Amino acid sequence: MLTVENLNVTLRNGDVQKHVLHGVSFSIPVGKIIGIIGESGSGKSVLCTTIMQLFRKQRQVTGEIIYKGQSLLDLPEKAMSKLRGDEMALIMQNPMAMFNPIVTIEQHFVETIQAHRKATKKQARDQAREQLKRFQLFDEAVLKKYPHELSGGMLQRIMIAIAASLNPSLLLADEPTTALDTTTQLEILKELRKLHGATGMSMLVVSHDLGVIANLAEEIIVMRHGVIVERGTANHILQHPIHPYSQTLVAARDEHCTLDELTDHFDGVITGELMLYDENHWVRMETRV
Amino acid sequence: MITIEQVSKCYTKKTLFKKASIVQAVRNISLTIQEGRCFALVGPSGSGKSTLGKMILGIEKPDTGSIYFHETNIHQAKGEERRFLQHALQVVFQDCHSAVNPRMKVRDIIAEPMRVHQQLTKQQIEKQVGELLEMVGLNREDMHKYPHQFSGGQLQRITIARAICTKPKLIVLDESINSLDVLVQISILKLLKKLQQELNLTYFFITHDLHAVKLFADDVALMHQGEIAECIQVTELANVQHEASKALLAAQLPIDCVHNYLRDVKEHVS
Amino acid sequence: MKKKWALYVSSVLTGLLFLAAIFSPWIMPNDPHAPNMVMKLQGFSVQYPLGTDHLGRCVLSRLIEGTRVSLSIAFVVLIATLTISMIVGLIAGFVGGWIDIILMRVCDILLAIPNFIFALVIVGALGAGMKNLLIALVLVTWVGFARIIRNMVKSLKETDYVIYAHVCGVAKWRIITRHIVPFVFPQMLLLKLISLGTTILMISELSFLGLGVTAPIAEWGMMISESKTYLTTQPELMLIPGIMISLTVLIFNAFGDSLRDVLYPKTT
Repeated sequence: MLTVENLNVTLRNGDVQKHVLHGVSFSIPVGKIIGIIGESGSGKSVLCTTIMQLFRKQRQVTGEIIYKGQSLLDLPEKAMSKLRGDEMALIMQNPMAMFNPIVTIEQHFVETIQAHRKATKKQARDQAREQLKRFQLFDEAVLKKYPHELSGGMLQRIMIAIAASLNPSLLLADEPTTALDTTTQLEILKELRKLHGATGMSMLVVSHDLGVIANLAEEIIVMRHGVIVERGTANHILQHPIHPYSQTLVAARDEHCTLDELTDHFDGVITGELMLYDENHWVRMETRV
Repeated sequence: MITIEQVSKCYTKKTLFKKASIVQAVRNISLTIQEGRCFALVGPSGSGKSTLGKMILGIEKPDTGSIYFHETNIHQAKGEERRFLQHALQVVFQDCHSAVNPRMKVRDIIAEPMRVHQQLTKQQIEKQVGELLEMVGLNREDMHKYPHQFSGGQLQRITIARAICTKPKLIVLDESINSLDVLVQISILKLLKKLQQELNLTYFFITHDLHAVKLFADDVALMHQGEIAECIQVTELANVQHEASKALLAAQLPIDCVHNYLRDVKEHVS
Repeated sequence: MKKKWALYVSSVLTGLLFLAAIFSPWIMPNDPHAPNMVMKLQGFSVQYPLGTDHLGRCVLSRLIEGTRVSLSIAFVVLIATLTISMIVGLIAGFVGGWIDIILMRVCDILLAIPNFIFALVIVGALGAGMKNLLIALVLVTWVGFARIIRNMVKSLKETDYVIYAHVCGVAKWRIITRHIVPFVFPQMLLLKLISLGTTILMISELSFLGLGVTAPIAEWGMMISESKTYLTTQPELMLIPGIMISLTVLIFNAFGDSLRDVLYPKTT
């Protein structure tokens, strides 16, 4: 459904240029959940916003992003904004910052729905109520509330509901649970799993928390400094990570290690090519002569 | 070392048009923190853990109850006792970037607590700051740089160096590793453990991450809505009794539950 | 790139204005005060590049002296209001409590009175003259800045590093000088530079009404006022000082704005 090929992204801020993504290639098959795990500076957030073709003016992008046969990089802005929300939705890290504080939740729903469908205000409101029921947010009073009156977890669930209201085929989630505490995190992950189960929509989940990725993704991509380090099924990556960097990440969350046994840094430079190691398991390794 | 007796605190939330609502942040808590150990306080956000940390440091006063450092009441200490407490109790905050004045050089940031009660010459300060920087794994030359030139992990090390410069007895770690990457978190925890052994420190570790608690702490108290649900040693975490504690444990995401996920999916599909 | 050029151009122009003000006695072609009824209302000539006014005084020389008058008054006002508003804002923001409430209510009351009318009332009560003009301007302008400073101080008090300094027992005055002033002062200086144009405008407005500088000292607003009767015959006597006022205000505004854009660029 979505194929990214040899993507290189450079950020431009005035005179300063920063090359954040190097030769990133992967694909999201229909109906699968792909997880990207990376620390800060790995370029994972930039990847999400580049797929959505946001911040076009401040970025220099080469490579290909193909969505359902259409190249997104060549698409003019008008056509792209139709795709956004309708076919591809993005939920981001801090739910409190994603809502306009002087607008009610209902308005947020109506605005999104009316942007992509021909609907009167009443119809949009009915659709909003439908969405809430679908996500088991039974309290209709929530529609009349303002964002600051609700907790972070509640807002994130509403954000997922709004994103899903137009039945997109692809959902991008950029650190969906980072700003929430552990009990709420579990609820949000359950929501996302239910959504996936009910609609079969493809998802790309990006996080620095291996626990989140492990609980959601069927395939995992490990990134560091803008480069894909390892890629494969969740099982493979979590149980048999091959690249030393992936091994460090997995070991850091190992329940059975003590503090002294864990490595706390990764010094190696990422070199080499992505090579097929096993069935659907790619690892960046030096080519052996 | 620290005895907390029957401490409570509530905040009144005043809004312009609604009635003032009273939030009971901390309800009747009693705890003892043993010297030389790491005591973790765990709970979801809003459970009052930060409030308790602030009360230990003296930033907030409890409405009822008292907090004692050995025999001294923290909130009633004056003069010499007060000065002693200012040296003995230190803190490392959650966000390293807002914990330092961005316009000050690292040397002045670290030396600030030292300068409070002593007149030191420039050479003395630079010598001590240099030693502290080396103790936390940074270079002596870093003392002439500014905060924005450092990464999150390095900046947190600087705040740790600042906390140990007065040779404190207790350091409150208020969600100190939350905003850092996983590998950096581990390196900071290792540094803290090393410093604990070298300087005979006691830690009060406020967090909501049970994984870090298992790696780092000796004793743990689980908080729930302002009260202590359970207070046990870390080795006994598997045997918690209280409902809220069990919920906390269940909320931790182990990374080998891929099998659970696949089972869930299969159930849904069929 | 564009922003830096704006800064260069406007700072050169501002510098020129200041130089004209400082070296005015030496660059004036003629005496701005001496009346010369023989030469009155002359047009442009080599000796009188911008002509003479109704008392035969050289317009250009009076214009240059006006530069010195306006800029020096504005400068003194800047320093005085900076001092007063910093002190009030720091005390209100840092100490808080009753002092904060009282000081802010005083500011609210004073802010409710329109600036110009307030200045009019003060000068009207005290009488015209440079000293009273200064007093009026200072009293009018300090209020808004004090409020901004107080808000800045209040938010700075909540930052972790200020709380930390409290925990360590750092003395309050030291927290103010070390953590708060270095942050507040540059921002306030910038704000005041931007408002210099407004001050100069007010000086001219009050002088136009005869409530500012007294004759024979040259001031642009007064020059406009004195040339009112010659509007139809020699309009340039009103236009020239008017253009000078507009240009000066424009240059100062541009300088302040471009300085702010370069120092505090808006992040994307």
